[in-house]
Amino acid sequence: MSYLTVIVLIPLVAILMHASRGGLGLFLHTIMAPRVLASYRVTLGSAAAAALLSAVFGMLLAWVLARYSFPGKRIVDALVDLPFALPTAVAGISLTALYAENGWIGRYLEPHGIHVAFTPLGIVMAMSFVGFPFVVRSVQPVLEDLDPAMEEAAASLGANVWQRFTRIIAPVAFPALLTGTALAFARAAGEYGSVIFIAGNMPMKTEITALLIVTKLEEFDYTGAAAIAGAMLALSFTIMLFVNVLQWWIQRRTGERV
Amino acid sequence: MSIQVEQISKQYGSFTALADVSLTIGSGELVALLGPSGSGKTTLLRIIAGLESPDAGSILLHGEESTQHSASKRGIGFVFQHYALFRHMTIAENIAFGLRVQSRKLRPSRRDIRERVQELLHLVQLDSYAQMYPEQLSGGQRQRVALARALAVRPKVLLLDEPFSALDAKVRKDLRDWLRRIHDDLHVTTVLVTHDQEEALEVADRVAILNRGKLEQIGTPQSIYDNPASPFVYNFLGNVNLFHGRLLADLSSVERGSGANDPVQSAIGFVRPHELEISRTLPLDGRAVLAKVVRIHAAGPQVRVELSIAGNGNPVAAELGRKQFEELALVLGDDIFVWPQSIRLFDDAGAKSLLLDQGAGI
Amino acid sequence: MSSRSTIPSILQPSLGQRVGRAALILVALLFVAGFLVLPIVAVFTQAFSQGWAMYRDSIHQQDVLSALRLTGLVACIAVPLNMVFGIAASWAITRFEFHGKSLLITLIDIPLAVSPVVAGMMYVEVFGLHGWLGPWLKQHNLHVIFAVPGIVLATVFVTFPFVARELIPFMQAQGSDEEVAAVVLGAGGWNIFWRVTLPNIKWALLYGTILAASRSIGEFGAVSVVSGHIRGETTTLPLQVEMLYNEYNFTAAFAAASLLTLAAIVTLVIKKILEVTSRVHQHIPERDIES
Repeated sequence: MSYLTVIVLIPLVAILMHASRGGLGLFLHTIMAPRVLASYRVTLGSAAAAALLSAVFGMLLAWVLARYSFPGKRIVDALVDLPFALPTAVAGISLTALYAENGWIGRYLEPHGIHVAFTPLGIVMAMSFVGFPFVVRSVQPVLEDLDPAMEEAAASLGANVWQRFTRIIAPVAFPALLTGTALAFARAAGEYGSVIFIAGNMPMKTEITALLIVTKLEEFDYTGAAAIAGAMLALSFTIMLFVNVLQWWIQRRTGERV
Repeated sequence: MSIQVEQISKQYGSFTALADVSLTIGSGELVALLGPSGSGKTTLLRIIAGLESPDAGSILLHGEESTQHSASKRGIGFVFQHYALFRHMTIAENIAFGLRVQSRKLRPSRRDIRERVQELLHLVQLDSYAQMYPEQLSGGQRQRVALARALAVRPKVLLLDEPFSALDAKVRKDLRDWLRRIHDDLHVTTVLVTHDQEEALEVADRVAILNRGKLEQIGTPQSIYDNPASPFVYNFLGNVNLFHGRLLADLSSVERGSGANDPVQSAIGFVRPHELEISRTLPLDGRAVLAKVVRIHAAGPQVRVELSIAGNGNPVAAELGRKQFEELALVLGDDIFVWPQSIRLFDDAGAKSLLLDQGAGI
Repeated sequence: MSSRSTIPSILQPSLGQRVGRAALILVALLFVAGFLVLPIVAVFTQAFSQGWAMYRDSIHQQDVLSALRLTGLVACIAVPLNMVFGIAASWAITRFEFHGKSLLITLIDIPLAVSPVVAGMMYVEVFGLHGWLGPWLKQHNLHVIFAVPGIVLATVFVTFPFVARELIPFMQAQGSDEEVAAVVLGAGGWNIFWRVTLPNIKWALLYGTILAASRSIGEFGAVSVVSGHIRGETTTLPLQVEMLYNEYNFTAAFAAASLLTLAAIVTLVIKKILEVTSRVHQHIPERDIES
């Protein structure tokens, strides 16, 4: 407990205190400055898009891994954790290399006018990379634990494949999908290493909030940095709260109904 | 609707679940598929349901070739061992499920569905449980809901996979009787899989015994109990005492084999515990063996007496009515005479069967 | 870790279903190939784009080597610390009731929800020159921020949930029966832990430790804020990668990155092996096909 206090609590409180040092007025002024607001737009907007993308592909992957067998399945299953195991800086430079104009993927997209590197789209791609494992790992166990007898019962009662999916599987998988997507969003919003290489980092256009904090630190604007950090913390806590409430709600349902 | 099982075979890798099984189930019958684990009974049930497909053979439902039909199109109702209720739906929603997923054309109106659900809840005596969730019900209640759910769409065949084995003994018995009553009311062709011989014999019109993927015997409970076709069936349907060939010869030196039954040919004699006679005195014809009382189990409707045959120490168990037991006033260590009222002989391969009766002049 | 797999064998899938299934698998595989495999390949291709000699030289640069050393050092401190903490916390949470238990659980999850940059900032706030302990530290000539201890701290923060989060559900599911039995048989606290608890949790423990290790090697954001980027002294390998890249020394950057990628792949392989062997050891039953 004391270990935790030292490592977590004290630094946390420190930031909050510093952020509030200049008074509420200064705090608000800092976090609402145009450049900062722009960074929120970029960060949260991209994170939302990335979360959606993660949800779609994460769901697909969770489904395929949980219900089908195919050659190479184990490798795929292990690869899902790659974004988790790979250092974010490595992911950053690697994705940039891929999506740049002359990159392996970029060269096919550029002629069609799709610019990925150094645009918000690139940010979304990087965020999706780090986010989608959360969706897969949230949904996969739920799908795997689904009692096959329930699906068989539904079939014996006359439900066709689609009905089985929408009435039996989806209601169970959806809460997990929601949790996974929320986690993916949280990760994406805070992501630094994998984004800063591909983003281009132009203030007002492709600058993420995390980078703004670092910039302020390098300019020795500690108060400003702390203020923005405080705002980000608020967001993190909100998401954590949301996820916890969601889990509690699922638990209630599971306890009472399942 | 009648069910015809024709030469069904099914293998899982190197394991043979069913080997060329054929049987016919008449419309409105209640047939039990009885057998130990691994006998293939559940596999057969699932093949009839369409939840598994056979490697060979065919299933005909009401004369119609149905082997390729999917489970959702066979008009069957299935009750699972562990209920398989939809946990995220209320009891009412569970029961209504089969009606709700019907195609637009066939689907009854909302009001009709509600009425039907009420009707079924009443049938299974769970009227006030409509809005509850499966979690809140006991095992026996859940199984009743499962049955109601299966019956909601008026299936032509009802299939139950060890429906009561997950429940307590008392609940099991109650539900068993209740199932029989429902069957008598509704006359739905029903197939019940169970490993409990008491259950099968009590509930079914006919019983099919499976062993290691093969059909051993099928017949009314009475007929298979009285005339088991093989040692397996005999053994499976109740307690048994075995007398091996040599011992029979021993008995025969007192009983003497008939011409058709050469005592030298090895055979195994099967005697039910209640078919053994016990007395303190030698019977008139002198054909009995001496035995010592080793244990007495006096709790229950019958008294079970374990004996040890003098000379070779073979264990034998006899069953007596309480009255007879009290008249004999048996105590541990008593020496008494025992002989079989009737004995069924199988040769070593378990094929030939011969029933020898007390009065049949052995 | 994923549990048993139950792929329902309902019905003979129709042709349409089979095609659908194949299509889904194909799309999933394409996604994995394009999204996950390609980046790995890209790293190595770029690293070797100027030949093996160039690669070897890049790795043998003084800065890269000291970055490697530092990364290793940090990992060797952070991981065992977090292992001990993780075990202690999971033990406390799953076996006891106490005030502040839910607070503890929430606290454990914090590093996962917080941006790594913010995490780094937190430590700057406390230990930095203008921070709470700043003046005191300066007095005693202790350097935390812009020095190795700071990096260790930041890394510890970021990785400490991993072991605990792996252990908690595992220990919860296991139940305390065996430990209670040990108590009844007269074993003392340490004995119970060493002989009963530890062997049972060893797979989950290993798993969580591997995750924590790979994260501590790869942590970038938090360390970046805390380290001051002093070449040769406070640069971990990921930071070195960034530096080289920003200097347009791409080949060298990718060369360093390739080392980290290798570590990541090794991590994944070990994870998979652990998963498979632990399943074997726990005799997780396959779907019953009998009767």
